[in-house]
Amino acid sequence: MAPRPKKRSRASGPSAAPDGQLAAEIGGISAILPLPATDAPDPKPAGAGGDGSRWQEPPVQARGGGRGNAGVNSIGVGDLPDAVLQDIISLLPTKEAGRTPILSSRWRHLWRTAPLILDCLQLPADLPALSGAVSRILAAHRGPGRCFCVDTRLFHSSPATLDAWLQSQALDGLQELDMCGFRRQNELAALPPLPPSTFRFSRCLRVAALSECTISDGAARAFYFSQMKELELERVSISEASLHRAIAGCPILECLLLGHSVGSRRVRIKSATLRSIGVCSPLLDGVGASTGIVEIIIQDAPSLERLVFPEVHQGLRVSVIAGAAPKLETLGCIYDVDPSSRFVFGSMVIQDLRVVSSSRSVVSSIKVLAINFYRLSLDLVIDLLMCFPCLEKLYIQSYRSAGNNLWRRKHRNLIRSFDIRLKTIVFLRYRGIKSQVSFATFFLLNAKLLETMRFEGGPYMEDEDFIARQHELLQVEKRASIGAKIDFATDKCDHYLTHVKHVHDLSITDPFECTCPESLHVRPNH
Amino acid sequence: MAPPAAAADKREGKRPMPPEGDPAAAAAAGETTEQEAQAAGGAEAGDDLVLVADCGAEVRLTRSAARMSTTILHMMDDCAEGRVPVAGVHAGVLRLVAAYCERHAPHYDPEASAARLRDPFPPFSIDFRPTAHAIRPVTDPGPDPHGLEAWDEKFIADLPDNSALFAVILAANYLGIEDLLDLGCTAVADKMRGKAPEEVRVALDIENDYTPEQEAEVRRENAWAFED
Repeated sequence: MAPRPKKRSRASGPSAAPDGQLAAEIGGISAILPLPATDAPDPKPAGAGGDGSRWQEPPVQARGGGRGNAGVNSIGVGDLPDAVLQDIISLLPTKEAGRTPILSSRWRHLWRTAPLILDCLQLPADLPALSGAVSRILAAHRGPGRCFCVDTRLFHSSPATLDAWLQSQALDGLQELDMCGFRRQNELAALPPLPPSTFRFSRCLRVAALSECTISDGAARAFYFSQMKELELERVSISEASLHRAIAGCPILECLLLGHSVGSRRVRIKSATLRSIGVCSPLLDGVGASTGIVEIIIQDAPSLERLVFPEVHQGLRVSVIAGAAPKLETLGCIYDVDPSSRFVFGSMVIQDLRVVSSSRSVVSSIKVLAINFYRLSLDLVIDLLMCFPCLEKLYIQSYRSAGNNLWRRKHRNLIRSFDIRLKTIVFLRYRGIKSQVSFATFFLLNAKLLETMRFEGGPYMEDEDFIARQHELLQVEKRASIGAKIDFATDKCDHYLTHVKHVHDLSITDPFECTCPESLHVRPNH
Repeated sequence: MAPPAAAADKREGKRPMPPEGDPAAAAAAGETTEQEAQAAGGAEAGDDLVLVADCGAEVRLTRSAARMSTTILHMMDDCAEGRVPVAGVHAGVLRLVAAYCERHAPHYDPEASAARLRDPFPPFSIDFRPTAHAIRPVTDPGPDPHGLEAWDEKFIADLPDNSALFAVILAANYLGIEDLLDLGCTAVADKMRGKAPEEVRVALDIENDYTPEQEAEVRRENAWAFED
């Protein structure tokens, strides 16, 4: 099963042109694109934009087959072969793709065999209507399927129906299965079992986000997906042994997101292909016990690049065996919410954001780190910097301050001997108070390789006076790196520092960078 | 010396139009300075192919760029003197395609290209009800370290009209250049997205050849798509 069936061939489709005709048709656009030998260089500027602008007004002729108002010799969309048109249809949202048959007779039967993207979130939200729409789509479409995003409410109201749907021809060759869950904190009892028909996609499924179901030991034994690259288990009830079996059943898995699962306490990662791992653990309950994953052990992950924790975690213990993850570059977000949280890298131990190990071991592969401090403390950050000497990007979010973060005397020796290699620092929830200013000036005045320092805060970040005052306080003119850019931005996006909501996001290189549209109003200031 | 036309082309950066037979100006057909150095180094350096369109026009293409086309890849070694006849593709389109390949060749990864997941959550904004609890991926434009995405955007924007876009798509299909074909298809889908069928017809010059009865029938067949 090729990852994407290469069905395109220029000979397919009723109006695909054989060689000679194609040349003649394209020859007609010599009016548009100059020929080599006879032409002066093109006098008209490029960049006219694609939509309907013409260099020369061709004669208007009514023609069938999709040519419309184009002239005799120009190419219309109907001249594209079927397979290409179907690829275009598969790029459209579910409903719009379903509307393409109305465009013209050329398009009438294309949707039915174009790769199907069935996204429940784009269909009516009301359950009976949604269920009806999905049934009709699956009945009308002949396959292949590319992506099926199913609302878990449908699954919970009738697991047998979902199983039947998964068997329909419309979903043959499905590449992505998404169970879109609606996060319910406390309703993890009686999760229906994963539909057995899921396993009929064992050779074609590449992305699976399974949520709010139970994966029994029997199902885990059958869990084999030879093409699976991204797997998400969100609020899934699965035993520890089954979890490991499921992960092992995906031989080329690259991204793994384990969110709020129940039944497994310890995860051991041993995978040659995994590049990105995300773990969300439910918070401790009233008696301080956790229902989810409490320990992650990276035993052998030579390709691992990112280890991310999308949500606040309590009591999470992470161990990376020495040498197990030589390429680990991105780590975060680490919280100091719970004193039993622990990060172990070989012989280095970080407990509750404090470095407690006595040995001077370092992890030089880490380049991007995100920390969430309840109490901002420069001393702790400096300790962490010494453990990650090659750190290039640092994200800091804090709520309160611990002390004034004075450093000139305390870290005098450090400044002389230690090279801070940070290039980018992002300081969230910045309020401009003394301890935060002091914290920030430490880096501004000592990080010689600094390229960007960004402060994000509330609406006051747009106030000219505030920014001018901050420039004074931060001693921007005395900064150690002349080329450093200092930005003040308002944070309009209400999100966790780690932007991972779906397993797709695990393939983003920097999951802490906020790329939400219209979320940042950045005022660059030097 | 590159003629003024080539200099103007370099400023536009998109459509190279070298007079025929001038190897130095033909080098302006690409974006990269490596190609310039190569072409300046000598005509048939053994590293450059010459694509010959039906009308006889020639388009220079480095071998590394030519590898992006599975069709040319298979024809390369069988062609005398590195001259590859390309039937059925207009010279102007061929030049556009060559420019694309030259720009993308240094970063081309055939396996990644073949195995690329067509992203079912494309980076356009989907207007769904803002249910805070729905699990959706964050939009990720991702880093663009080599400026390829920006270049592609300009490439598409500089195409004069739909006809040129379709011609490029047809050429990419024939020549087996997956990435360019994807780019073209995405551009067409972008023109369609968010529009009612009548607006799509206008945008793509599609003539509605249904009779009213047929149209009603089509609406019935796909009623789920026309509700709301």
